[in-house]
Amino acid sequence: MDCAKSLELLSEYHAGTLEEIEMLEVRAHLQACPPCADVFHDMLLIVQTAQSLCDAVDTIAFPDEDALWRRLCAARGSSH
Amino acid sequence: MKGLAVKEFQKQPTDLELARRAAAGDAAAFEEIYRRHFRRVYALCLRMLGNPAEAEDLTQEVFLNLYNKIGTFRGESAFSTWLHRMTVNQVLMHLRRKSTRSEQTTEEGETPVQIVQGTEDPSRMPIIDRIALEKAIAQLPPGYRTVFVLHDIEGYDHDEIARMMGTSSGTSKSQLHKARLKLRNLIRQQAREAAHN
Repeated sequence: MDCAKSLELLSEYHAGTLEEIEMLEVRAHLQACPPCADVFHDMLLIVQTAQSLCDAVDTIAFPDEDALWRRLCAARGSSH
Repeated sequence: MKGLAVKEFQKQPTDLELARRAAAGDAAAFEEIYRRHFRRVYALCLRMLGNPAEAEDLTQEVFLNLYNKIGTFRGESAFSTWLHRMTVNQVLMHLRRKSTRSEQTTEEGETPVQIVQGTEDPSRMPIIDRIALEKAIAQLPPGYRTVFVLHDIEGYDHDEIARMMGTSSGTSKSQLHKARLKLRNLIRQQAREAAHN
């Protein structure tokens, strides 16, 4: 398997949804090719970090909750 | 003390109770629902849209829609799940309505992703933090961003995403993969820029 093919299959390899033979081929390629292994490593970091964002709101700058509530009340009033 | 805490806890109405009261016209109950869920709704809108002003407008639209539909909540699922799905649907509808896209796209509506292997730096991509990832997500083209947020952050599977977006599961998989590779490039770029400054 070459680099282009291996890179194309990384997400499916990560999800474990490839055919068994392709899983083995990608695994073998990653063991032999440090640049592709780096891409896979980075992808894992991205996926893991993304999963940690699900219930996290500490990275977000929220608008003023009261101001938005007032806007909402005004819009509700005008829509009725 | 413990008894008091239990009493305080018992005083808190559930989302279902609040929803029933709001549906019956109790404005204070609807405000309590807004206060409980505003942050989660806004965060989802922001991640899917990548634009704070647009996210604020959509948050308002979601709660307006909720106000009109709250009587249809039957408590068959958790209220937060129901509201989450309502938010996702509303953002997707908004994205479909937007006729112009600011990103340059190919005929398939996708931005080509150039995979950059290796590093100029002896180390790999820097350890990414959540803020760097949030920033990179905001820079993704809309199609990639939607699939990435729904799959990798919110945990929807490709079949659900395909149904919601009116595409195929294969398209969802392909966009997710390209989104991840593009995020990697964006994060590396952020790191290079930070190193130069």
